[in-house]
This record gives sequence, C-alpha cells and structure tokens, in this order.
Amino acid sequence: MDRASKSAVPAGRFLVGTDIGGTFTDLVLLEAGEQPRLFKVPTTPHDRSEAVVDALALAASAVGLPLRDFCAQIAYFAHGTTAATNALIERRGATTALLTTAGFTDTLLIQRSMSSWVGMDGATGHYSRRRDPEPIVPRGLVAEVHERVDAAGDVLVDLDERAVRAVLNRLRGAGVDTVAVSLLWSFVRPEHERRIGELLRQEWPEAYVTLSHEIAPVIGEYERTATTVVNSYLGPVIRDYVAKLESRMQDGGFTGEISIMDSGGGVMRAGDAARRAASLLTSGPAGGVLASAELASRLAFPNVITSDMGGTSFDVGLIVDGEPLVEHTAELGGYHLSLPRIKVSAIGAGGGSIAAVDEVGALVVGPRSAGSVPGPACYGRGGDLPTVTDADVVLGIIDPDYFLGGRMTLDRELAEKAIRQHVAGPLGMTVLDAAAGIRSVADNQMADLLRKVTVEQGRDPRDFVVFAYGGAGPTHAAGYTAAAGITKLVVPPTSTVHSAYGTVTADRFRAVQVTDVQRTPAGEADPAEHIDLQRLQAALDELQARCHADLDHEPQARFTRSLYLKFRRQTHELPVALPKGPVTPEMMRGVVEDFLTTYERVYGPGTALRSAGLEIHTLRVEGRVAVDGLVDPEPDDGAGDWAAARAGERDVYFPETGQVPVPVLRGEQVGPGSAVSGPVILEFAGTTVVIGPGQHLRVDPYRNLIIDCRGTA
Amino acid sequence: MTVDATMTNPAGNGPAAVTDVDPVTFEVIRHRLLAITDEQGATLAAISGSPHVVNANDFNVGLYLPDGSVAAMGRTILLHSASMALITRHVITDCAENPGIEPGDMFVVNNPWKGSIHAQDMGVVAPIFVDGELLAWTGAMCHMPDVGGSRPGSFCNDATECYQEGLQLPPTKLVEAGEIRSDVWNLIMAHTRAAAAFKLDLRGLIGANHTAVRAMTQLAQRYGADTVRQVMAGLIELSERRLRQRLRSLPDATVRSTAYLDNDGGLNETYDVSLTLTKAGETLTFDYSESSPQVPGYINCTFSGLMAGINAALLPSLAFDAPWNEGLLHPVEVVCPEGRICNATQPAAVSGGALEAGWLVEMTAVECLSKLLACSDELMGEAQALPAGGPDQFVLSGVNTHGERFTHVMLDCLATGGGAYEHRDGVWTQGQHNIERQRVSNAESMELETPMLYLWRGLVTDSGGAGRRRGGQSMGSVYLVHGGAELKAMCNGHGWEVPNSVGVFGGYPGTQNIRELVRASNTHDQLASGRIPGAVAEVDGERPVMRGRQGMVPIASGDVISTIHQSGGGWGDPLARPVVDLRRDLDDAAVSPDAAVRLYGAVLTDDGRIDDDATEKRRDEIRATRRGWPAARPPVPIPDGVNRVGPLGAGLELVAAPDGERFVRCTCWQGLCRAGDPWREHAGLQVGTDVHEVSMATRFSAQLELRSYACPGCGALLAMDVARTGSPVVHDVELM
Repeated sequence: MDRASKSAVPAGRFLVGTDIGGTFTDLVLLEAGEQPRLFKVPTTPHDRSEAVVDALALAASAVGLPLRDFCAQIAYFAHGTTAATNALIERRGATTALLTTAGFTDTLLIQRSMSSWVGMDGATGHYSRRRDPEPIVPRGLVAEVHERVDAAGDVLVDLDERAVRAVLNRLRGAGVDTVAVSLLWSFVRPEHERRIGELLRQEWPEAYVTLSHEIAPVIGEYERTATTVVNSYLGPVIRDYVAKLESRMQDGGFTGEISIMDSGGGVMRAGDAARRAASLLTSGPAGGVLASAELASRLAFPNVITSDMGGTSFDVGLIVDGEPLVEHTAELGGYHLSLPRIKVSAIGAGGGSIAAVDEVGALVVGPRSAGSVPGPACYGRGGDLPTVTDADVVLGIIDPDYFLGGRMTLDRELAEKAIRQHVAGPLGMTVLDAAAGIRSVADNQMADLLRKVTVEQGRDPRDFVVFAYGGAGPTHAAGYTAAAGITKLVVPPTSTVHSAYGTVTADRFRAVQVTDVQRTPAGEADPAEHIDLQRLQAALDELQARCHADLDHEPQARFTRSLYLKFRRQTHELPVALPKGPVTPEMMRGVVEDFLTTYERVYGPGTALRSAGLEIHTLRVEGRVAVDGLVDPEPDDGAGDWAAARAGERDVYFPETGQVPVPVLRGEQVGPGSAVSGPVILEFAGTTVVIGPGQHLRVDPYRNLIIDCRGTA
Repeated sequence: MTVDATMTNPAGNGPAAVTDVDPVTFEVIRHRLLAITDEQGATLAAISGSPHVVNANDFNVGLYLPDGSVAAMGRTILLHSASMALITRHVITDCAENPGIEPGDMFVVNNPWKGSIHAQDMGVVAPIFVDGELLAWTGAMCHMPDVGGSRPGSFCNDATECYQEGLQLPPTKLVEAGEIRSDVWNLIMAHTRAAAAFKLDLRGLIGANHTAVRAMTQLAQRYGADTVRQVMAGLIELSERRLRQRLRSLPDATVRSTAYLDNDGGLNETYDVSLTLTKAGETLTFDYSESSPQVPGYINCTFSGLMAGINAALLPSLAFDAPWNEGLLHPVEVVCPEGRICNATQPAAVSGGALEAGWLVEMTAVECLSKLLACSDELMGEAQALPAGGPDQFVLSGVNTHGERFTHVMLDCLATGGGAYEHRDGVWTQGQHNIERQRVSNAESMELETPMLYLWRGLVTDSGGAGRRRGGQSMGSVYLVHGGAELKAMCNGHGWEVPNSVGVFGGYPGTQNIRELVRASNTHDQLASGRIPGAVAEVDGERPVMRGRQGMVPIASGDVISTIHQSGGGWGDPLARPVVDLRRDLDDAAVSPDAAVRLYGAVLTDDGRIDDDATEKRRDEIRATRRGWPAARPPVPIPDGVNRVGPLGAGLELVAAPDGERFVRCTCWQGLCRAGDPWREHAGLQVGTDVHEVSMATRFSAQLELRSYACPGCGALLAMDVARTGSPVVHDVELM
C-alpha cells in the first residue's frame, strides 16, 4: 500500500463516523457549525459494506448532494465493526498454524485449565455440559521448534533453523494460510521469533504472519499465544473486509484513508487494522465508551457509568477520574487475549429479552432473547413470546405508531396477547401489572450490574453519573439509574448512534507495551536503589520510538507512559502514569507513592502490602493524534420552550401512579434550556426517553438531556 | 418455557405459594441477593489480593437466615458451601449467651470441630440487624496462607494430634460494635508465619461482611425486613422442592462405594472411606459407618469435612439447575459415628483432611450419586465416572535465583482430567471436581517465581481411563531444576498405590498420581547440545524410589522432576469404543498405539493406522475369552414376555415379568439374576493385581485387587472394581 499518497488528507467539509451493529448500521455526520446529524439503516449481513453505502446515500440526500459529490467532500471517515468479533465467534477465520517452543504444543488446548468452562457464564456448575474446546488451530497444525530461552533471557537452546524450514515446508503443503509464532520468553529475548519471521519472509512470503513479541510482548504464554493465534486467524478476514470497504468508498469518490476503531482506545489506519486484526475485537462498545469519555470531560463529570441497551444485551463501561477503565486481558470467543481494551461488562438484557414465569412461579426476564428475528411479539414477525419491548408498548411508554420515528409499526394487541398468555395468566395478574413487572425486573437486573462494576473497582455507585444510549437505553435508564441509587442520568443527543459518534471523534491511537520485570526486595526498600533506571529508560525510549513510528512519526502525536506495578506475590496490578522527562530516582519514588495511593483508593485503606516488595511488570506507551478538523459543538443558551415540542398526550402506566395521562414531546424539538418534570415522554426518531414521576429533566446547551432520577422510584 | 400448573399459585400470591411476596418483588430481591454475594466476593478479592483468593477462588461468601441456613452463596469452591452454615450455628450456640450477639459484631472461627474444614480455612460471620431485630447473617471465609503448626502452610503431615496443627479458634468475637478487637486480632497474628498476607485476607473477610451488611440493610429499608426474609426462606424452599422433585423421579435404591486411602504418612496401611447411600422416596441417606476408624496421621477429616465432601458431590450431580442453598440439604440425612476417619474426634490430626479423607468422601458420593442417576433414562446424562481422586501436593522452598528465600505451592496438580459421561468423553484438564472454575498459572509465571524450568507441560497420553467413553486427560509437567540453592520439595498425596479415579460400568480407572525424580541428570548438557528432552525417560541420572507421602526431599540444580496427576475414569467397556473415536484419540495423542492395542483391542497396520476389520475380529476374540471367565453362580434365565423397567447403569437393565417378578439382564438380553441379588455373582470374573494392565501407575497396594466382570452372553465388560483382597463381592446398586 502506498502510504504517502493515502495519508494525504482530502479536502472536504464532512467528517463521517459509521458503526455496523447486528441490526442497524449507524452513521454520524459532523460539519463545522452544524449539529451532528444521525442516520440509521438496516445492516446487510451478506455484505456489510453495502449498508455503509446505504447510510452514505441517506446522508448525501439529507445534505442535498449526489452521493459522489458528498463522498468527495468527506475529509475523514472512521468505522467501527463487529466483523472481527463475528468471525471469531462463528469460527470463520483462516487456516492457521502455530509454531511454538518444544514441549508446549498443548498450551492452547489446556488454556490454563479453563478450556472446558470458558464462556459458560452462569452454567459452570452444570458439569455434564462441559466440552473440550474446538481449537482454532487443530493439534496437527501446531509445530514444535527446538529452542529455549529462560526467564533471565539466557539462550539455553539455539534455534534449530533447519528444522524450522522443514516445518514451514510441511505446513505450506497442508493448506495453511496464516502462521502464528509464539515462543517462550520471546518478550524478553525476541531473536528466535524474529529469525523465524525472516525465514517465513524468505520461504513463504505470501503467508500472513503474527509474531507474539510484536502483537503481545507480555508475560504469560497462554494468553500471548492465544492473542497471536487469534490475530493470524482473523488477519486475512479483516484484510479482505477492509479492502472491500475501501474499494466501495473509492468507488463512491472518497479519496482518503479509512480509520478503523481499535478496542484499545481510539482508531487506527485501515492498513494497520489488517495487520492488527485482533485489535478490532469488540471495537463497537469501545466507541460508545470513548464518546462518553469525551462528553464526560466536556460536562466535567469525572466518574461515569456508560450504559448501552440494545436488542439483546446491556453493555456497561466505566469512566473513572476521566479515563475509561481498561482491562488487561479480554475473554472472547473462548480465549483469553492479552490485548488491553476498554472494559465493557455485559448481561443478556435488552429490548428483545424474553419474559417468562419459571417453574417455581417467579417472573424472570432474559437472558433468552427474541433477537431481531422473530423479535418481540409486537413486531408481528411471528414471535409470540413477550419481551421487554412488548412490555414498554403495553405500558404506553413506546408508541406503536412512532417506533423508529414511525418507520416501523408495532402491534400492541400482539404484545398484550403474549404477555397475557405467558406472564399475566400464569401469575393471575392484570396485563398492565405484568408488563410493569417485566419492566421492573429488567430495570433492577441492569441496576445490579451497575452496582457490580463499580463495587469491583472499590467505588460507590452513588459517586457516578449514568450515561445512557443504544436504542433501548434511554427508555429504561431512568428506571435502572434510580434502582441503583444513582441520582444523575445523561442522555446525549447522539444516544442512538453513540458508537458511530465515538469512531469519528476518537483520536488516532496506538499502544505498545512490553513486560520487563524488575523487583524490589521484601521490606520497605527505596525503589530507586533496586530498580535499574537505565534499563527502564531504555525500554521506555524504545517503546516510544516504536509507537511514534506506528503513528507515521506524526509531529502532533501526544504520548503517555505508564508502568504496571504490583506487590510481589499479590495479584492486583495497577498502571501508574509516568511523568514526562528522563526517569530519575525522584520520579521512581513518586511513581511508587502514586501506586500506593492508587492501590489504597481502589482496594481500600490499609490494603497496600508494602512489606512484600514491589514488582514493575509491564511498561506501556500510548500515542494519540487528534482528528484533524474536529470542532467542539457550539453551546446554545436557548430559551428552552419545551411546550412547542408537545406532540400530544397518552396514557402511560407507572407502578407509582397507575395509568395517567402523560405529555409526549418531539425530542428533537425540545430546545436547550428546557426544564420539565416527569412523568413525561420524549420521542426521538431512534429512541424514546422516559422521565418518571417525580424525576426532572433539563436540557443543557449541548442538547444533552440531564435527568435527576430521584423521585419516587 | 413451560409452566407446571401445580407449582404456581393460581391466586397469584407469589412464587410457588412459598411466600406472600409478589412474583416481581420476589425476582428483584432474588437477583439482588445473588448480586450482593457477588459484591461480597469482589470486596474480598479486592482487599485480599492474594493468588489463592483472586485466582484459585479458594473462598466462600453468602447470606444466611437467622438460624444459619444458607439462603444464597457465591459460586466458588463447593467444599465450603456446608461449612458456613455449621460455623454460623456454632457461633449462635456458643456466643448467644456470652459474649452475646449484637449489632456490629463479627465472629471468627477456624476450628475444624466448629464448622471449619481444616484450620487453614477461616470464616468470619456477622449478624445483620434491622431495627434491632436479627434479619439475617452474612459470612465470608477463605483459605489462609498459614495458621501455624509444624509445617509452613499448616498442612502438618507429621502431626499425630490436632494440638500440633496450629491455631484453631472456636467462635470468637473479632469485631465488637463495629470495632475490631485488637486483643483477638493480635492473638491470631501471633500464630501465623505469614502475618502480612494473613492480615489482608482477614480484612478482606471483614470487608466482605461490611458490604453485605450495608447492602442488606438498604434492601430491607426498601422492601421491608419481612419481605427480604421471606424471599430468603422462599429460595431455600424452592431449591428443596426442586431436589425433592428430582429425587422422586429416581427409583428407590441402595448404592455402595468404597474408596481406598493409601497410608497416613506413618504406617503403610490402606484405609477405607465407605458409603452406603439410600434413596427412598424424596430423601437421601449418606451412611459412612463402615469407614475405617480414625488414624494417627493428618489425613482424617472432621464432621465439617464430611459435610463438605457430600455437598461438593451433591450440588453439581443433582442440583445442577437449582440455586445452591440450604434447601438442598433438607432431604439429606448423614450417618457416621464419631471416631471414623471421616468423622474424627479430638485429638485426631486433621490438617490434611480436606485433601485426604474428605476428598474420598466426595469421590464415594459422586460414584453413588452417579450410579443412582444412571438408573434413570432421563438423568443418565448427568452421571459420570470418577473425576480426579486427589492431588499430589508439591510445595517447593529454598533460595531462588535472585538469592531470596521463597516458598511456592505448585498448583499444576489441579489441572486434572474429568470423568467420562454417557454422551461424551471426560474433558481434559477440567480441574478438580470441587472447584467450579479452576485456573492454573502460566509456565512463565512459575519460571519467574521459582528456579524450575519446564521441559514439557501438556496433556498426558493415556492418562484418561479407558472406556467406551474415555476419561479426560490430566496435565503433566517435566521440570528441570535450573539454579537456586537449598531447595526442598515437599510432596504428599494419596492415589499413589490406589487408583481413586475409577471407571464405571466396565470403564477403566484413570491414571494414579505419579512422580519421578532424576538426580544430577544430564539435562543441561542435552540442552547445550540443542536437544530438549520431552519426557523424563529421555534423561539420565540417579532415580531414587518415590513414595506417595514423600515428605521433604532435597533437590538441586540439574535434577528433573516429572509429575502426572490423577485423571478421570472411563465409562463402559473399552472394547465398545467406536473405531472412529479411537482413531481421533491416536491422532490427538490422547491414546498411545500401545494402549490402543492393549486396552481397546485395536489392530494396527504397519503404518500405525487402525485396521477396522482386524480390530473387530480381535475384539470378538477378546469377548469370547471373557465369556469363558468363571462365574460364582450360573446366570438366571429370563422368562418370556418381560418388559423393560429401566436402566441399571449403562450395561444392565431391570426387566419385569408378567407376574411382576423383576430380573437383571445385560443390554444384550442375557439374563443375570433376580432383581435385588448381586448380579456380579452371576457374571464371569477375572481377578488381577497388575494395575499396569489397565492404567498408568507406579504400583498397586498389596492389600487390593482388580476384579473384572463380564456378561456371560456377549462378553461385554460390565464392571471393573478396585476391592480389598478377599472382601465380599461388591453389590453396588440395589434397587428397591
């Protein structure tokens, strides 16, 4: 790929973010001086790039341009996709071989003893259902290499190159497309992996290759090997995906390079995406959290719980002290990957979650889902089981004639019938009470997840603000926020396409890391005396140089450095930011002080086990480059006449009030500065926002809905 | 989802009419109670930070009724599910009068006769008062790094009485009106070798209880204390109902199992843990009266260990789809006189009991429950051959390559294979049966922490017991001692002279625990010449004889240690294993060519492939030989016109004649005996003592024998029993 010609920024006035979800493909159009414009089209599973073009066409007509002229005026195009996640879960990757150190063929099968229960979630106690995994590298395609490095980085056994060549020849004849190379201690001493990489380039130049010390140079051979293998497995899939999307965009007249969401915390160039395919995993939810972080900083909320409720799942992320919470190891598709990524916790609760009476007579909701086909009963597509959306329709919360802005008509009678037959009847309740019960059970389940993610971080949920987005999020957020004991809720104006908004506003991002263990002895020794600062400095410099090179030596790049520290023989590892400048003994002491403070803040006063000694584990450098041409939205100190937005009134059932007439407002017309007390319903083209009895709404100058959730719930 | 009309209250008065709480509030509170136990676990893990809490999940948390009944518990180590109720009840009995149970109090217990499984397991329980009235209890426990006694880590393998096994606190008030009592705190810390880490764990337990007290108080304020208590009691009753319903669907039966415990560290004696399980109507009676008397060594368990073993077997076997709580114990009666190896009284040494006698309580219970489940066509799929029968502990200590003293518990012994099921092979490295979510460390983490270098770490070929369905493979390791000084390996385990992971219905046992040591090996030289030996057989050096209870062994750089851990047993006659499965076993190296020939009757071509026709012929020949095995009594002919009543395990079935008389026959329709008689007396018998003929092992106890029983009609292997030499015939399943 000719990078020089690609990276030239095309002239144009539009910035476009897109996100492909399971049901809808979303597009956000940004233009200086304009409010963000939002578009939604059905996803096209046979060729997902088609929906992107559909969305572009919709946007083009909205701004009154032919598609080609519109595309030519796109200065920046960013994209989030579930392509990698889907390919891994559905096992549609390339035929992949693994080269590993002699004696370790089974590492990927054993999975540190987790292989038979990973992914079983709540069913791990049902032993008869355990299964051996279907490995993405068949045992016959794992080849052992005679070589060995020890923990100190000393070479005990030299690489047997002749044997490597023989192995490569055999694999090449076995129909292998991609090769993953993961040797023990390669992150300490990468020479053997590098040499195998050279041999591959010489002998087998067309193979897609992933070397473990490049993709995940961190300690832990299982997770490192899994990451390496998954990257190779997905590489060709993503390479083809990106090529197809690029060609569609070029056909449309777009001349720049596409940016792709990286679940680590930003976007990367399309060419990099093909090389680092594993970084795309779960990039969709990451976009929403990044957009929330940007919004949170604008609104000066340091601590935010992000909540995304769609059709099948409820995804929750955390922003603590302004930074999205990142997890070091991600579990996905049956593997544990050493790819730091924005942490998103999920439960199976969405608009399509099915309500039922279990065999002991309790009303349960989810995790079974009606999905989008057949979908909730009210969709009239043959689904006859009651769902959360059906409950919302029956209660009057969702207007069956104004779903998706009226583009889809729902059948209230089918919803009632399903609830009567499967919930109200068996429980001897009225249909309204049953529907309110379904809503209450779902909202409380989601509230339990909000509590859990904050408690796990040693935090009190009441110190957080909830951001709600996704098609169903704003419809339920006031309920789950109140049930979690949280006061403040924000529904951003981009809530229905929040992930797409995240892709276009996120920085270009690259993170590089390496495990280089250094320790202080037990006792309260001066860290500066026991940590080899020169070695630390050299490793950080090398990381930063690599990071900068991966960002094409962008002069605008900003870098942050962090060290992962832990107490020896303890498990909790925390990143501590390193100030700029050369590493000095004072800086090192300061880092340790920061670690102790952070540790006790997260895990509680007195938990820091200083006497055990410290371990510097992994070093990390993150580089960021802001998107060119991105301007903050203009605040609008409007008069806030919400009465003009009034579209009517309908009966809505709340458990606290019973069925009462509730004003319905056209959401898009509720201007900044408006303030209104619940119960009230705001209908947007893509979602319905509910403000319950006793709750209060205020619209801020950026059109965010700020909701005070106290009240009666 | 179907609704059973008998289980719902048509008046709409709440789930299954067990409470007055409406079904919505019930579900909201139920979900919240489970979420609170999750939050408790998260709090404990956060504060503790120790690998055994965070990674090994060796802890338990829960919410209990005012009488100590477990209403909700975290899903961690199954063994601890019973002990928290016992601890709470002992606290109530011992402390209610003096020093009193007041709001803000917490009580600590680690006494094995007061609910703890062994002294290393320390529990802290707290009453939850709302408006001055006791709403509930909450509790948290975890395995402590050391509570004193003769050995670091407090597995006191040289102890002969409990007084040598460290601190054993009976119920003691640790927190009084919200304040930690420093006298009690200091008393505890004065007894441990690892005070720093211990403090964090203990603070974690206290923190977990604070979390629950706060959350439960809020819940009671929101919904009312009575509503919360009703839901808690309702959960217990619902689980009880579900278990009773399941028991009703099973036939009444008496099921027997004996597991053998090889030596107690001192005497080289083999002991019995013996269970007679009676299922009648909707109740179960576990009777361990026939077990050996308690012994001098540390392998005994107390009543809490006995209950822990029973619980660990019961929950996943019969209650795989029910919330785990006290209700599951209501239909259960336990009989075991004091003074048995699995209900030891003071002054018995018990610090190893959880891994020794207690473990075999679990194994016998799994075997009996599985054989009971296999008497139902519907529940056959939940029955299993035995999983790993006990770990060979390996604790390494000495000076590491950085010149620092260290002690490291090597947990590779946990990555064991699972028992086979009717519908699938045992899964590989599933972990111990009593740990729901097992994890072991990476090799790199171990090499960083210790002077051990793995030459090989993988799935052990032939470790899973042979059978129509094969047992899952365990992980094995070959370690090279690489540097370090003053190193000592402390190794102890049973299952060394006894296969504990036995098969069922003709399946063979999985591998025994095997450990080899090669001193002053030539491995470093081999590495320097570019070769990595992949098996202990490939290195030269001095090979001392190993024992199960090795105790402390000095080792040095250049030595090689190899370990293989007990692995799941097989299900059904190995000759019935489909060739297509055996072919895959050979491809995956799950089974060696040698074992395919010896155990599975395969005939291989010159290039090592299975010859289908020749294999079928050879299997027929073997079955013909088996048909010639002598039986103690002739088979009983089955009258015409019988109807099948149900299965009696996987190879036999119960039939009823038109006159109502019942018989046992092989699935080939060969009659064996009248129902109620021991069918083994009517089947062909071959007795052997060469354990190497059936599984991997170092040796076999001289006090035991292997008894193989075949159908006189078709030659199918119906059972392979491990039994005490000269003991009466095993009558494992007696249908009423």
